[in-house]
Amino acid sequence: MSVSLAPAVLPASSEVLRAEVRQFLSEELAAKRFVPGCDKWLGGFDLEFSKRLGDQGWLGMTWPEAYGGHGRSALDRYVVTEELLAAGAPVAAHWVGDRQSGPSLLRYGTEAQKLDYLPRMASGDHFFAIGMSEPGSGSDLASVRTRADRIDGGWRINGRKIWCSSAHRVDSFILLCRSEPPTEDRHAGLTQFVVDLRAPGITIRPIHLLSGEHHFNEVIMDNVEISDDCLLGEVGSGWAQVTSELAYERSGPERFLSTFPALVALLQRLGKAADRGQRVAIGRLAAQLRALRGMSVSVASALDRGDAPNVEAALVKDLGTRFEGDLVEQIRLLVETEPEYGAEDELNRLLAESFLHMPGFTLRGGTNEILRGVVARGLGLR
Amino acid sequence: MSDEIRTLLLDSLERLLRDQCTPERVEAAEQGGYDPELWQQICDLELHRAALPESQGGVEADLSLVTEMLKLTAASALPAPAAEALLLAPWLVTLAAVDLPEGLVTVSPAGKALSVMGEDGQLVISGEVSRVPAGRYADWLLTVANSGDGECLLLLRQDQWQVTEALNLAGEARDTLLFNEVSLSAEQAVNIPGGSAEKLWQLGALARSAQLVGALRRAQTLSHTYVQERSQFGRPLAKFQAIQQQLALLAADLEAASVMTGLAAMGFATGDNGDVAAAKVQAGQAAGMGARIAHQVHGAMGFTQEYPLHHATRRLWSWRDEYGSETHWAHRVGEQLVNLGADEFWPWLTA
Ligand SMILES: Cc1cc2nc3c(=O)[nH]c(=O)nc-3n(C[C@H](O)[C@H](O)[C@H](O)COP(=O)(O)OP(=O)(O)OC[C@H]3O[C@@H](n4cnc5c(N)ncnc54)[C@H](O)[C@@H]3O)c2cc1C
Repeated sequence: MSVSLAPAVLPASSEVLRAEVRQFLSEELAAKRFVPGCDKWLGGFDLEFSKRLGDQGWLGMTWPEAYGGHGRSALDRYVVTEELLAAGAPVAAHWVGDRQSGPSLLRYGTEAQKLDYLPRMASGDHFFAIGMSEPGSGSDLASVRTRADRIDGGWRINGRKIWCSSAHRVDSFILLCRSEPPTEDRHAGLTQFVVDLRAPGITIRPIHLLSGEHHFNEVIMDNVEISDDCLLGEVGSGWAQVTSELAYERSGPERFLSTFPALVALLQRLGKAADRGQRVAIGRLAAQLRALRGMSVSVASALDRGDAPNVEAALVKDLGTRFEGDLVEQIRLLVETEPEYGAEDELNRLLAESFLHMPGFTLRGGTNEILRGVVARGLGLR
Repeated sequence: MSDEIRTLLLDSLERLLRDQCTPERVEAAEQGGYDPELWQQICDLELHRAALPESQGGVEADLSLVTEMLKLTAASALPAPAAEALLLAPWLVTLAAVDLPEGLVTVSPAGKALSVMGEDGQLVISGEVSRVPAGRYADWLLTVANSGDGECLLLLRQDQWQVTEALNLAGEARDTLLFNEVSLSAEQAVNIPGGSAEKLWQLGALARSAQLVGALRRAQTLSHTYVQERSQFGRPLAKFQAIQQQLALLAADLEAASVMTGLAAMGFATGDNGDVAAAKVQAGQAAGMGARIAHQVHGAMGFTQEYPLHHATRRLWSWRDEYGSETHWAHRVGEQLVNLGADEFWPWLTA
């Protein structure tokens, strides 16, 4: 059986960094520079906050210094990300770029692309979106139909991408296209490009979330002409590249901490008046969190060693994203309150943010059904 | 403790269990759950001494290793009080700096129920200790009691108690031992540091967590084999997505319990940080969920006495309630967090 999660702990050296991040966050909070929220890695878009993180050296942490990075370990980055998530900080602007587009550029990009993008991403001046899904291609990503056709010195792109988070306010996206007609090998003939979202021929249409937020976009590409410099990696290697990008996308602590601030607010509200049943419920949730964090650190350590824990990441994401929802469902039964969007009361506000974002938890980055399929394959059942 | 010794111990245990601890043998030891010959073979390999210091013939096997051993014995449903004899008894005698008694040694966390009277060196005990693993077979019972001057380890001999038999759901002996004004010799009561009873309770919970993980691994392995061998509608059950999804859920819960148990074993020496509690909560939860899924994918076959799945699942249903249920441990964590306060929650989680 090939699921293997070895218990691991973060190195003591990361704890110095943790203290620095906590100090920074408490100063930000004291200065009222952000309001803690749930699912702010998706919904908390704050260019200035991201810029301040860049100033601290907490963006592009693991990238080489030659590209504006800070040459730190993946576990150091883990500490920073989990601290930001636990604090409910508004990290959405840089999240995608820092987590997956940057590492993809680093791995597959040309020297020129790396020098062009990475320093600006690490300083908090250039942001990325993801261009994978299409109206006809969700879970079945290999079926994408956006076409890239060769032209003199470059490519012409036609097609539609959908569900592109924050595409209306970030700078670029990594686009998955079909560059050759489909053959029997569904994964062949796919290619990735780095594309400027303001390029001529691109139209960005808002799609509003059920909460009313403008988060999603449809990105329509009508004869968009891009130069060869925009090609990311190899022509025809898009599937392998997008798969490695998904490994970054699936493995982080945002897959179990999206609603964590609500649990802190629950403790705040109940205080020492918590009755036995409430204490048991809090303890149970805390125990589950401890286990999830242990698993997540285990995956992060495996990644740091250079392993490819794709099955393990899928397993933890399945468990963690279900937990994010269970957490708030339990809280509402414990306190019998009425969640209200933007409410003065912190718990009511956080619950509202959580419930209105909850449908996304078990869909984004690969649905839980698809993840369990990955796990089942890892277990040798498919 | 070197990797070599670690591998050697685990390999020799695994081989012995594979060759000797067959489902037939486990079945034959039903109604009590003890196979003295099999246990003797474990002792012949000196595995029951592994956790002892070298001065006592052990190799100072650390908790990570001993909990791995317990996962193996649990996966094979070894008919013997493995947690008590391989981990808890060696830990107690090491703590008290006394020799491990000869014969089958069991342990109970319920010694506080005994009344201990008299002076140092001339103690008399009375009372009952209930739910003692392998009570009817044991030569010795080790437990922690409160005497006049603090906690003491009692080393009680089989001729000092009367047995009332009882079983857990797995058919393992969980007997009541009655002590009726029994005089102890001086060596039978040894003073130990305060807080040892609590430590024993935690260590027992950790041991049961490891055993739950081991038994659940067994249920998982049987399920995987079964769904690949059994066909319906012209294809193996494993090809049905509904089956795959169920087994992925089982795997997720099992891995959570396994990682948490591993962390608790690694950190046990450094004090109570909530890892043991989290491990027992996860393991107990995984046990219920996992047993249900394993039975569901087995259909009626898994519901029979003939098929060995119940050797794992009846242990899951028993062990999750021993040394504190999920509720017990969750309550403790909840208490701790409420007392720490909201601001200390995240630091607690990341400490
Ligand atoms: C909050 C959020 C942000 C997102 N951001 C982006 C982004 O920035 N860029 C981007 O490209 N995409 C983004 N997505 C899209 C996301 O990747 C897709 O939603 C996801 O891959 C699922 O595709 P779908 O929504 O088309 O659902 P579908 O694939 O149509 O699935 C619908 C249901 O059917 C189930 N299903 C599908 N196939 C199978 C199968 N083989 N077996 C069993 N069940 C199956 C699914 O699990 C799901 O329950 C985002 C999505 C969300 C929710």
